[in-house]
Amino acid sequence: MTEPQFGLELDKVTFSYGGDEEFAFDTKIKRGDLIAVMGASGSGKSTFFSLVSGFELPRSGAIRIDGTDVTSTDVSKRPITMVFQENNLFSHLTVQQNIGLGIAPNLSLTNEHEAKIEQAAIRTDITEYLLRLPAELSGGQRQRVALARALVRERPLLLLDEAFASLGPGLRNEMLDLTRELHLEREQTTLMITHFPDEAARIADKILFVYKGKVATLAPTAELLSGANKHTPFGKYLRTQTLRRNNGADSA
Amino acid sequence: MSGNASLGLGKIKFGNATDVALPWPALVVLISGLALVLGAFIPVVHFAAASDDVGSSLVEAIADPVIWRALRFTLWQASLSTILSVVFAVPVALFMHDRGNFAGKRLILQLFSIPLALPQIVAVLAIVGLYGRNGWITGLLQGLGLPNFTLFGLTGILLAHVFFNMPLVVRVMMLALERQPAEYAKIAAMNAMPWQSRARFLHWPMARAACAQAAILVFMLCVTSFTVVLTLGGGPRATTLEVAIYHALTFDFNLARATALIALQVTVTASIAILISRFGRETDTGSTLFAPDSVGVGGGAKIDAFAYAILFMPVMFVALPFANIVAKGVTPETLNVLTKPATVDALITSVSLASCSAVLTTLAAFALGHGICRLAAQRRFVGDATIVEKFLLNSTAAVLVLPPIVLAAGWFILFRSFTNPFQFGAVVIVAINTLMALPFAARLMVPSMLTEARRTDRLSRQLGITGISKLRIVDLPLLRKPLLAAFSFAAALSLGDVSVIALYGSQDLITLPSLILAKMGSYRSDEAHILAFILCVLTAAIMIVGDRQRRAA
Repeated sequence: MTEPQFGLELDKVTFSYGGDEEFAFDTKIKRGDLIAVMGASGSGKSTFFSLVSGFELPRSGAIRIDGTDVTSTDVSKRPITMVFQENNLFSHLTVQQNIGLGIAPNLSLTNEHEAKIEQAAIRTDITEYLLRLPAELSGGQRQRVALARALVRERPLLLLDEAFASLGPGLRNEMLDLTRELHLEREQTTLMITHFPDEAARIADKILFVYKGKVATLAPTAELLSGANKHTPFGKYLRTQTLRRNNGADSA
Repeated sequence: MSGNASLGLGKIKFGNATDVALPWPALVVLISGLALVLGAFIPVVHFAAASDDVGSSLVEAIADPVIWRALRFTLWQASLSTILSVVFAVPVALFMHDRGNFAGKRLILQLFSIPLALPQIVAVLAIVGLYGRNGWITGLLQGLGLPNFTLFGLTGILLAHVFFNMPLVVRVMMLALERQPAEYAKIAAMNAMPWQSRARFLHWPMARAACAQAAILVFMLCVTSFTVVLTLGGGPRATTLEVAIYHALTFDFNLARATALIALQVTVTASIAILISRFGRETDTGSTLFAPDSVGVGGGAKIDAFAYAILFMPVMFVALPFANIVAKGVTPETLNVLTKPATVDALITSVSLASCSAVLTTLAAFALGHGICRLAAQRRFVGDATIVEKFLLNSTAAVLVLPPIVLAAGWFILFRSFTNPFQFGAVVIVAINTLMALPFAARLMVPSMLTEARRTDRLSRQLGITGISKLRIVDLPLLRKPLLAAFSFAAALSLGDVSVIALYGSQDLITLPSLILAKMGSYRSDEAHILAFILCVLTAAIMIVGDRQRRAA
């Protein structure tokens, strides 16, 4: 059986929260791509992720992951792992248990499961913290645990919802590099919401630009960041972001 | 509405409004509560429907002088109790705040929190022990050559109500005064403002609104005060509507009068509830057994003799009954009374009923909280709570308009038309105590449930943690403290219940409070005091555990 060409397809997907704002997404993302999802606040990036992950159901259209229609599939059944900006871990469970939930939602962990958790912990460099509680970890270590859980879940699509936005620049780059490494090892389709052009430039194959509730552009990172698009909405967005960055507004 | 399929919810249509998905456990709680309330009003409807001439029956009932005397006395004693509570509380609160963190302030605040948690029957016994015929204070007054006064009647009711409510008003005012900026005290000191000016221009404006709200709350509590009036009223001249309902059912067997009294009582309490709601803000009663962490803005000023004098009487007024409970409860006879079969049976019955009620209350509050969280998840926890969410939370508070004796009496009359009501005693006690504790339990649990749901909802859904697994892995560990707090509160409330057991109590169903009542009725006050001490210790232990959990949550 031939592998599907696209890791993610949104086929004329429409959605509304009930107000005047309408969202209409129509795009195809190649299997195994690492995409930076960018766009101004309120443009629809989070709605795009919510629709793909199943937290919101579209009014019309279809969503396919690796060729399989998941439009009405429950959140937990979708072949997706999502890492949020915060609250990725249950505060009362140990690191090992938090990772284990990715394999066994009832936490009945077998020896095989524990071995798998150990491997994921080694890969994300958190083995010494397995018995600790999340409160005993730094922000970067907590996100490593979330990535470890994403590893054990082995889902073909990884969504990073500003997962590293609250980390300092050094730690953020470290996490981005780890994400890139894991992505290359597993050839997992990965989408990452970010406001920072340098993050996109660092690891993303392509940039998906969301503008006024639609996918306005999906193009190679180098092409979009080359400056050739300065009169397009993306060009304006890029200038705004660069200005904000230079003014320290996004220093987090 | 999008997302419902994944949440596994049922949809309800509210008129032309948007579909609202309400989880079934919350629906079950709402419907059960409504059935319990409506069932109690079947006799009222039946009374009207069964009369050939409804008009004349109503006129006859309304013209009953007993009813109007009860109404007049209800409002009169509640007004006097409120005025006295506020008059004594205002200087205490203003002085305690004005004098900053003086030695003993925390102790006084802790002392003032105890009446809130004390079963009324225990406090009544303590007051009888002090102001009764052989009481300490009575002896002291006689020694000083002052005239005797009769405790039973309006005097006793006022003493008990001020004992319960003066500390409540103080605490409500202190909480409002806590919000006063620390700079106020410094400005007052720099400008050498005398205490009268500080009280008038700085403290009173901060505490005025809270004082008014507390006064309305106290009025409501005194209108619905059953145990105090039943035990200290002393006869038909000092009978409130609630006690009149009880007398109409137990002594007079006058169902028409009882029904009319129920209707009147609900009208009065509903009117006061509307008045409270028009005031808008919720009254923070600071219902904790512990003093607030911050105890004033005065910055360690030494308390002077004048302030001590102001505080001495109110503090003694609240402290002496406790001393009396301990003094009369801890005697060589205590162990004998505790090990008597009747005491052990009553203790087992009380604890069993309280446990059942507490379990049901906690489950019901959890179900409501679950419903509110699911609805909040549908709006992604963004923006204000929807009307349905507010309705779910506030619907429980609506039952506070209905005093337990009204519900108990309604069901009593209903059962009596078919069968022996006493055989349903345990069920009715548990059901009504559950309903009465539910608003408080919901307030204790829902904020924590919403906070945790906001943090963990998306993660749990994504990882497929649902049903029993979610309960075991996520909800119970995270909500252990608010659950325990709600459980303890409901258990303590049920343990101290006098009103429902007064109606449904029988030889086969005796609780600790009803045993105390029986001992008081047969003039075995020594034994009653020991039993009251046991009840007090039991309730205090439960409340302390619950309060620690509440504060931790």
